[in-house]
Amino acid sequence: MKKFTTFSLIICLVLLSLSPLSAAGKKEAAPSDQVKLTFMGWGTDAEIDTYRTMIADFEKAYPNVKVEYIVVADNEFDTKLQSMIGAGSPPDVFYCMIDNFMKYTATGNLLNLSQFVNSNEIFERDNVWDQIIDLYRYDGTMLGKGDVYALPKDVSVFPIFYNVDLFKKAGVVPPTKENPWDWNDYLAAARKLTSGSGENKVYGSGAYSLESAVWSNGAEFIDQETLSTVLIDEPAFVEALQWMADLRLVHQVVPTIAESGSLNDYDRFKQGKLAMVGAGTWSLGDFWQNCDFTFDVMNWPVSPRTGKSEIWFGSAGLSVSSKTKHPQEAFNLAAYLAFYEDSQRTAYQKGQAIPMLKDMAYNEFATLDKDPAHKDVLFDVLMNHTRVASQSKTFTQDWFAEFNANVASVFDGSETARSFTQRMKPRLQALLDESIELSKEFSL
Amino acid sequence: MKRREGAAGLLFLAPTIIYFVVFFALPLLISVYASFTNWNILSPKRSVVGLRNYQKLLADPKFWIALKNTFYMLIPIPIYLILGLLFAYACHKKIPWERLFRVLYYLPYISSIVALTIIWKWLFNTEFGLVNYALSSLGFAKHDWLNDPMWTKRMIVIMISWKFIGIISIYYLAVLKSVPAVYYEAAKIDGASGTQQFFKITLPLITPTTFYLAVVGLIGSLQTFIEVQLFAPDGGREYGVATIVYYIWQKAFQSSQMGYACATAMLFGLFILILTLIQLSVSRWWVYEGE
Amino acid sequence: MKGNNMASIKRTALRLLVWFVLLCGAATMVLPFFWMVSTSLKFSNLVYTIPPKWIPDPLNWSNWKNVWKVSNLLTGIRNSSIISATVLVFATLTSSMAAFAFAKLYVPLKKVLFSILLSTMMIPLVVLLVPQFVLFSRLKWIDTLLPMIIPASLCNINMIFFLRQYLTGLPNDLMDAAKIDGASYLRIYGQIYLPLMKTAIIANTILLFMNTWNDYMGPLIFTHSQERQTVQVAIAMMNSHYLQQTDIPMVMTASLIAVLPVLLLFILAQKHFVDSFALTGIKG
Repeated sequence: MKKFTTFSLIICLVLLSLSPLSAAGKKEAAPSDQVKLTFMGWGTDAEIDTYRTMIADFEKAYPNVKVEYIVVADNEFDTKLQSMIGAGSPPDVFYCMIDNFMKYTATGNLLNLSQFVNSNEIFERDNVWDQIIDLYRYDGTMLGKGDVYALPKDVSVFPIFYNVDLFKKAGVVPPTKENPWDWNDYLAAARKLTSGSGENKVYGSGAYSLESAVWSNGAEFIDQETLSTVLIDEPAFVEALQWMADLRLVHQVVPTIAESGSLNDYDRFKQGKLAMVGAGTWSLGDFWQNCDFTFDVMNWPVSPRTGKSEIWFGSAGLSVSSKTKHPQEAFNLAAYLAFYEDSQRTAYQKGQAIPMLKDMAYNEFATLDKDPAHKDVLFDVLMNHTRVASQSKTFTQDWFAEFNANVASVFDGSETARSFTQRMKPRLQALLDESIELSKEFSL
Repeated sequence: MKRREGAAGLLFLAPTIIYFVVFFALPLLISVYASFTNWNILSPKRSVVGLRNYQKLLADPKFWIALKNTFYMLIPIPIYLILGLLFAYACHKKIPWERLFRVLYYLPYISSIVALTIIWKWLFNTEFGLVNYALSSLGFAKHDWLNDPMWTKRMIVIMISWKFIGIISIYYLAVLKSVPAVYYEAAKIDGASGTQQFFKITLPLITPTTFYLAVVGLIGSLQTFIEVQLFAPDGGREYGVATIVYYIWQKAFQSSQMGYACATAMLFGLFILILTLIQLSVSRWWVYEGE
Repeated sequence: MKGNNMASIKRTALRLLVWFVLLCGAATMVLPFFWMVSTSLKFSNLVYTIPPKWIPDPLNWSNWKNVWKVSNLLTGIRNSSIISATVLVFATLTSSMAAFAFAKLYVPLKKVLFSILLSTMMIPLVVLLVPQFVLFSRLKWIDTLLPMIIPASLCNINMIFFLRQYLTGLPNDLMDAAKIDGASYLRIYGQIYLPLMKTAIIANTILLFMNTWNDYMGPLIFTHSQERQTVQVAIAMMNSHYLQQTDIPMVMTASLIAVLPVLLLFILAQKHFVDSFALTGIKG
């Protein structure tokens, strides 16, 4: 019996000694009238710093609110967010990729922000582009209409950046709004810009955006009225996919897959070894720092078949959890981070985004003395040539992921676009059907 | 007497039992229950769906492809067991610079997987990688390793085998040292050669360790996940690299279908259990137990 | 005479061959490590070059200074150390006790208990993640170091399994003798079998430390504030959102720093392997 007691005493001591450790974990209790908010996001070190400054300013403007900023690596963000939602303790404000927006809204996890958007003390509704507010609307079935469920964290345009010096050297005249290029013009220019070999090889173009090719050609991944039929085997789609692949396979104006694996198109552009690349305005800061040549932007060329040009939207949203205990303060935080003048200014000055406030965009940003010279192209693309990608409008994106996981066989030439699309269509359709079923099962 | 021993035994096992009940059994029961529901992490709508998840997963071609890929991940086990043993044996037999060698062989295992992946991707980089550089200086053609879907799986297997040789040798070294020298002395007196000593004395005595390593190795290899996520984040072309745990992770956190993921995990866990039980019963025939 | 010489030449040749093979093997093991060191001293735009440069030119020492400021490495190391040290001590205790019980004591339903314990290894951890998260939420352990410390300290199946196997190979005579002498089970465990397990425990301790130090998934899910990050999470955070902008030399520097404690521990513990340990007491 004595041994029993000594033994259990030891166990108790062991357990007791663990309690200082839990004390190490406790946080101080906040005073009762203070509001505490959690805000979760990802980003580069530069972005994180910018946000920390903005949060500090916010806390000064709203002294009764304390913000805890949680930074998560972006490829783990979704996992973590879902764990927190599943456990019933989501952050008050968090990033929301446009692709995931649909499923978070439909399942009722995001707070309806419409009333806040229309009357708040942080920004003027009319001073923000409609397109970006509409991006985060949802009416119960479709994206783009209805109430607002998130604020755009930033808006990014995805034009083609081109190396002005290389253009001049090759004698290529860039397109203008009045004289846009079509695919043939683009290819001809890329040919002229591709030169040299080995260490001195310069490529005319980076990998072309498949979405731009498809949409400009009047084709779709899935039908836009009901979002229920896969259309990838339509002739216009196949033509676009094949044209895009041929840039690399036939005309060799785009680096090979192996070369892109070693040095991706983006870095190649920065080193002056690639003349035209699709990139987002979030790269401006990087370009300013690392490109020792003049660069400018152009719109994606129109398809010769339709005369149209379209490209996708880059955006992430700031949403408020529907379970938040402090909706007004949470909204203020989100709006502040999204639209507050100083943060907008910092963002564009650091080359992280173009301003979402129209007056700032047209005045300060447009006259900023830095490349690109033709910033009006950015506004033009934003207002007239962008659209939301189809996979953002469906409940799950599995069908789109399936396409992307396997399309490399077209890009490396082991399969034609026609055979690929015919082969993949039933698989994509099955996944799309599953997405619709899930949507019915789980939407509120 | 026996009751006292039984009570003492349970007391010694107390922390383990507490762990099991609170941190394992409880979450597991929740998982089992969830496997019969359509639990979606994001939605408050939840209902019991019976065997629907199980039916769906058995009908999903991706599940079977992932299962096949998972078996592929067993290849490293014999490789690192044999090579690890050989290395441990060499160290045991006293080679020059043994201590330095052991440290070097241990390096891959202790490095973080994030760093290892960056390094590996550099090694096999088509233009700048060391492998292609070596190949080209020897006159062979360069190969596009990273983008060749056939090689992604092989690379993971090679990396895992390479990683584990050092650590396996530690286990074997510890056990080799514990074999009483008298056994060898007696055998030498009887005229046994080095090879005979190895096969008749050493090998049987290390079978408990081999058994342990094989069981743990099997269970661990079948759950390969992080390497897949780092090398082929989309599962590989035609889902050629994805393992079962990757499949589960995808369903749980990308598709938010937690109930379905739990069902897959239950099924797969059962499968591993059966395999291990088979291993356990077969062990009677080849594992030496102390007198 | 000639026969003996032939035999000894053959043996030496064999030894040389073995040594050479091991050398090649060692070279493959250490190569990536070399590249890690070399890259940590490079400037970012010179990381990928042909031919691969082993000695960077120019040398860039700044990463080793800046990594402390730019990343959360110091906090990560601190947290990982707390977790590892605690788990090491307690897990060794609980695991050896459990292994002793399984190998040497009579326990009701021992085989069943052991098989159940084994089965815990077979469920992919991914699935327990969310239920465990819910559990830790209720306990208010989220964003503390407790989810990484408590479960691991209570039970480490790998260690229990290995020690049990090891103990099973040891004879029971010692225990029978001690029981006749009237020693308590605690004493039998502490004074007889624990010392005998020393080598095995050390081998497992290194592994345990390494697994705890390199644990990534757990800390990622269960903690989120900067002050609670562990070393692996801190390093992963350095992989930028926009992959092209990852500062590879910085990541290599941080990874090297993170590897050092494990490396040091191993080198230190190696001496313990090399000093041969006493054989079982029965012989004497």
